[in-house]
Amino acid sequence: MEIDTQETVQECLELLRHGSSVEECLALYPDVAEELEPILLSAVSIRATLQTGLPSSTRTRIKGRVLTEWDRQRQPKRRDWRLPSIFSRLAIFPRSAFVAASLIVVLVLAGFGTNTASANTVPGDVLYPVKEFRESVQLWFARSPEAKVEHYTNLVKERVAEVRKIAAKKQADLDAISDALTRMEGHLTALNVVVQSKLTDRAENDIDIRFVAAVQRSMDEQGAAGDRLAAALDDVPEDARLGFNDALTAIGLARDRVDAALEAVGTSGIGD
Amino acid sequence: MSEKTLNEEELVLSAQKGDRSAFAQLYEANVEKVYRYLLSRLGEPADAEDVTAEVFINAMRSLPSYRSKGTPLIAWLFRIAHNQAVNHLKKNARRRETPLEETHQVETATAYDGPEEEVLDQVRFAEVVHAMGDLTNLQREVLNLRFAADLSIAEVANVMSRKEGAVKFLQFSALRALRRGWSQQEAVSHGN
Repeated sequence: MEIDTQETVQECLELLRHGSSVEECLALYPDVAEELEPILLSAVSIRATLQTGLPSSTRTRIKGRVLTEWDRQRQPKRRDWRLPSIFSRLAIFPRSAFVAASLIVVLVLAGFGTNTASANTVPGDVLYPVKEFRESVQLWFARSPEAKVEHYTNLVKERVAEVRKIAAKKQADLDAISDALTRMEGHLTALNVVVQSKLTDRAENDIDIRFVAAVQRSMDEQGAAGDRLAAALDDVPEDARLGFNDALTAIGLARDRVDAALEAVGTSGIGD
Repeated sequence: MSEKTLNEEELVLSAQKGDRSAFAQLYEANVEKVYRYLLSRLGEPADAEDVTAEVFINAMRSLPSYRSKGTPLIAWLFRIAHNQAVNHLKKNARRRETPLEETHQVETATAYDGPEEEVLDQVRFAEVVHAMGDLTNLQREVLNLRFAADLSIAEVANVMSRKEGAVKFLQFSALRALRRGWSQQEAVSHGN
C-alpha cells in the first residue's frame, strides 16, 4: 500500500511540476486524497520556498570569476626557450639577451602590419585573435599594480568600443556582443582582484598615492565607459539588451566594490 | 549554424576544444539550478555564490576528461557541487549547516517586494531549511535536488547513483517526516 502511495505522490508531484494544482491531483486519486493532501501541500511549500531566484548581479559576478579563470588558464605560458644549435657560436652573448633581441626583431618586422590591422577588429573577425594576443602581451609587461589597473581599464574601454561598433551594424551579431560583454566583465573582475590585493597587502598607514590616483582615474573612466554603453542601449537589438543591462550592472558593482575598498583604507576621494 | 541552436553535447564538444562562448552558454543554462541547490545546502547566499563559482571552475578544469555517455551535464555538475558542498561544510565545521535563523538575508527573485514580504520570505526559508535539518542526509539531498534544483526523479537517481525506486522512497519518507514535524509544531503552538 505504501509503495502505491509513493507512486501516487510521485505522479502528483510531476503534475504539480507541470502546473496542475493540488486540488486537481487529489481529484484524480479520491481514495487516498486524505493521506495525499498534507504531503502534497508540504511539497508545494518546500518547492516555493527553496526555489529562490538567482539575482542577476550574483549571476554576473560568478560568471566574471569563472570566465576570468578560463582566460587565465588559456593565457600563453612562458616557455623554456632553447637556442638552436646553429646559433651556438653566438653563445658568447647571454641567451636571454639573444632571445629577447630575436623576438623584438621578429615582432617588429612580421607583426607590425598585422598588429596594426587587428587594432580595429571585433569578436568574430579573423584578426581578432591577434588583438587578444597583443593584449595578453601588454598584460605581461604591466608589472606594477598601477600599470595593471591602467591596462584593465583600457581593456574595458576597448570592449565597450567593440560593442558599440558591432551594435552600430545593420545586422548586429548578438554572439559577438555577448562575447565582448563577457570579456569586459572578466576584465572588471580582474581589475577588482588587483585593487583588493594591493589594498589588503599594504602596510599599516602605507598608502600608495600613485596607486590610489590610478584607481580613481580608472573609476572615472569606467563611469564614462558605462555612460557610452548606456547611450548605445537604444540602438542594440532587443535580444542583446539583457546582456547590456548585466554589463552596466557589472560596471556599477565594480565601481562600488573599489569605492568601498578605498573607503575601508581611508583613501576615498584622496585624489579629488 | 548559430551557437544558440547547438545542443548540450555540441556545446560541450566546442567548450572542450577551447570555445569560451560555448562554455559561457553551458554556464548560463545550468548556473541557476546549481546555485539554488547550494543555497539550500549551505544556507548563506555568500557561501552559495563562492561555491557555485568553484563548481564551474572545477568543471572547466575537468571538462577535457568529461564524457557524456548519455548522462546529462547537469548530473555531472551536481556531483561536483555535492562534493564541493561537503568540503565547504567540513571546512566550516564549527558553523551550523543551517545558520539561517540569526543571520540569513535571502536575496531572492522577490527582492523588489516590499520589506514585509521580504522578511516573510526569509522567515519561510529559515523555517524550511531548519525543518530539513531533522531529516537524514539522504532525505535532505533528495529534497534539495528535487525542489531546489528542480531535477526529475531520473536525474536525482543519476546524481546520487541510486535507483529511481530508492529516490522515490526517500522523497516520500522525507515529505512525510516534514509534515509530521510541522503538525507537531502546530499542535504545540495551538496548545500555548
